[in-house]
Amino acid sequence: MNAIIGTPHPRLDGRAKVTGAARYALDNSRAGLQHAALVLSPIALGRVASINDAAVAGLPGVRLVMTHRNMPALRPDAAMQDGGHAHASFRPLEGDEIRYHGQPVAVVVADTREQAEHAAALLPVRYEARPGAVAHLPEDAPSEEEAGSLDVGDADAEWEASAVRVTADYEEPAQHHNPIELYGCIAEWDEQGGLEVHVPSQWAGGMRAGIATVFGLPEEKTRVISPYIGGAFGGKATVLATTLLTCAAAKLTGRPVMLQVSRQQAFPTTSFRPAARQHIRLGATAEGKLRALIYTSENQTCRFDDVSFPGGEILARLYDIPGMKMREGLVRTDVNAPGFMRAPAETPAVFAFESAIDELAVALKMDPVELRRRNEPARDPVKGLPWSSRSLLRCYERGAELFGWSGRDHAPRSMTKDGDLIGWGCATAVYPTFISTSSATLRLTSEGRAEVRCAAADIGTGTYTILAQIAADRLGLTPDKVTVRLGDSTLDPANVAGGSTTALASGNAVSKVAEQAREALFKALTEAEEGPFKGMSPASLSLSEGTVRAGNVTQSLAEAVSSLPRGKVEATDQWAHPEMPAKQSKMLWRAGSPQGGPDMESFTALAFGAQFVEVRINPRTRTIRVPRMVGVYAGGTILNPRTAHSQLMGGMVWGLSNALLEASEVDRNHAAFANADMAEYHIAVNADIGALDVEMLEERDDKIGPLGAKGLGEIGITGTAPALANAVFHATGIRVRKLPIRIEDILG
Amino acid sequence: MRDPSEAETDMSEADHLGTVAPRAAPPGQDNAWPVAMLTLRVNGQTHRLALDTRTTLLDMLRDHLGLTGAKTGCNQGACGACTVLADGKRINACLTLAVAAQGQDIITIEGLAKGDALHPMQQAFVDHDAFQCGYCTPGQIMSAIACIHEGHAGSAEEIREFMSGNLCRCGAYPNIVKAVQDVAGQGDMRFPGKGGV
Repeated sequence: MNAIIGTPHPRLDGRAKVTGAARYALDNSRAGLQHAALVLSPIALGRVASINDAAVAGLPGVRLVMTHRNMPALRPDAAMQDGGHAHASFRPLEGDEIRYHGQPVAVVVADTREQAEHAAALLPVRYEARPGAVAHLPEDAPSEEEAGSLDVGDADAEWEASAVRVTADYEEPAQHHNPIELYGCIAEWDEQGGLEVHVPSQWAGGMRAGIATVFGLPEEKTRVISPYIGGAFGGKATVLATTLLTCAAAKLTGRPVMLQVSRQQAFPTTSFRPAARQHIRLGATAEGKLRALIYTSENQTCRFDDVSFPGGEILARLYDIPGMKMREGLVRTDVNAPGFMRAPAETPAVFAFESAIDELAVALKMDPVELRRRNEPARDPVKGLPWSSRSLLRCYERGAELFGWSGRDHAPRSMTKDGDLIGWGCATAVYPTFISTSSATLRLTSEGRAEVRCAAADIGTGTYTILAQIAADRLGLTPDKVTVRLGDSTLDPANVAGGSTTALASGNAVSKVAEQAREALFKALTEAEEGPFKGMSPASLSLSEGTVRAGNVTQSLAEAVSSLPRGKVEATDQWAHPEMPAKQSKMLWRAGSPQGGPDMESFTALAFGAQFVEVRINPRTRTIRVPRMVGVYAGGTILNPRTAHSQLMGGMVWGLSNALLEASEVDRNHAAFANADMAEYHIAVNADIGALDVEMLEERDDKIGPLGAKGLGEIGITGTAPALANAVFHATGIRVRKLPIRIEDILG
Repeated sequence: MRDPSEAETDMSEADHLGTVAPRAAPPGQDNAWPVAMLTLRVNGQTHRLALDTRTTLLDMLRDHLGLTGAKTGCNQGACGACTVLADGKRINACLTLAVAAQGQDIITIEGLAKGDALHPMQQAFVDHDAFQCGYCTPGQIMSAIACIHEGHAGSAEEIREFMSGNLCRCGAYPNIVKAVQDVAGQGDMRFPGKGGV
């Protein structure tokens, strides 16, 4: 077979994206389209006392003012983490109750966007406000409910016996995804009561199930279409209330309706990364052998769903620590439900823990890379299972070499350049290898092409390209002979494009159906009543360079497929890891998205990396610049080094943004996100990013599935903030234990 | 903004979520907003259409001409996803009213390729994997072409600075810089200036 897997094939969707031909959800304007605009509550707690919809109903073009009084009845759907498909179980406009600032209270639909937005701005709404709303993580937050716990050995005894100890508290703010694509959708009901929704989606099948559930529709009369997604990062995994409101409005007007949620309005109405606080006690011997980790955390959530992202399970897999105790708590606040955002559990937890490891290295006067070398676990410290593969120390070795780490003077404030303070820091990057399940169909056509159908998503991750490469590899074709269709709920069900699972699950599904289609072709050709391969053994046939071969006998794939009675060959199947419980595979796509890992029955699987960051700090202005970053990762088989590189690089860019810029600031008087736009919520721009080196090490993993590929979408962000914070300490001698790190934190 | 803890509060006039109501009654309360007859030249083609005068150039391109390559990301000139060229200058189409764009040559991403042949900047974006989700890409490409034409592509540092009006949430910045450097180094970039494509 050709070596196509593992080559840096350019994106197959590249031309569509650089010419503007790629159609994202809101690019599907159509005849008769009406436009919706949201009216949001300026209070955080209370109720809607009255809405004078008559005041705007007569304005030009206005077709509908939808409020809690005329909203169609919806059926319940649980939040995804509770086994449903929704972002939040609580939905606006189902009653008059206000539970968070910015909750929608009305939807105005008009013939044009200008008319709808104008009328929405004029709609008179009276509220009865209740005091006491809290949208921030209070300093004295009581964690009365537990989000997660973990115990290994006797952590208290190990702590007591530790010669060197570090105690520290860390804090991260709420953050918003801010994909550049606005949230929103187009909903259209047909005359038979079917519903079609164009909505950016990481999970077309799950969204279809959720929307069908809520409107009491059969799934086959509900369709979710999302071939291109303008950035997702976890925020487009679940059914947002704004999607349901648009579907409801379109039902009432009987016309297609588009809702474009403004940048400002997205802050309260969509998902976000909740604020978190961690308290870490880390104990070690004088030689730097870790003995104890005692970890407690407070994690912000909403009042109505138990959405939280405890990170202890992952931290427990980093190093060999005989005594560990994790207690993770929930703190309820008056906000919309938080949700998945790029490495939801890992990003805050790894920042805190890898900062604490650096603090311990300082206390031990030890090279922080050496500290990690002394604590490499031979097996999973939690379950005692072997690793499917683990290359953390090799990542550190290579990263240190690329970065020039041996030139580091470990004393803080010891390095300068042209009058600036220079700091070098490192940290471990980690992400669990979640093993999910997916299905796919592959058809060989009489044109000698292959068509792959799968409801997986390409959220910029390269799914179109890697699935084509996998199919091409199995079928002896070039990737341009493979057409991949994704992002449509009518296609074969797939897992949610979250948790870095698509390459592994959908990749293995496509590999499986491609092999089945190839074998079915060989069988049909050898069993045919005529043709060059008649009577041969199927095992003697092979497929390469678009040609079926058996010894000297050859036939083009196009001719071979054309010769068959049906003029095509098709295979459909599901891939599930042998250690996935059968019942989990069966509940696929209906309730939640089944996932195994990081620990399976016989192994534990995670991807690891090592990140190095240089900061340059002006001694007077204290401005922090990042001239260079290095990340070395091992992710099993790299299916496409070009797209994998971009994923990891993008994670590191976001990591810098997380470390230095991003916070959704809370106005405590109004329990509201105060910097709700892109002018005030800062994300990294081009000028913030200096030299950035990404390298991927070879790593073989034969336990996680036939392809041996771990997901890479999320690991890239995880080590950046701690490596950067550690570099800031190295440059200044000031330890900043909260994000983002700002000038005022290092005035000294 | 008034104190929301008041027992009953009329919040209809303003809040800080971007839905600030006008202080005065809308003009012509009893009838439609003024409609203007516009003549616009986009990608070398002349379009005549009657539009609500509030319509932005961006919404006109996307919703009225079907040119959806320019993207909506913030509607306040903060993200650059809507960047187009107007008489050879890069502008934010979301901050430009359609009526104000008359008499200028507007070039969008759809106006760059010559048939199957991509513009060198489009090709460079593919070659350097200068995007992931692709949503900011049309704006990045329009901006990149102008960046070179302005003479702001002399070094990686200069490109980073002059491409910072175009946000990329996937974090493709280093590859965007490489793509711009690549085209700047070719020296013969086709620039769609005044007079159309």
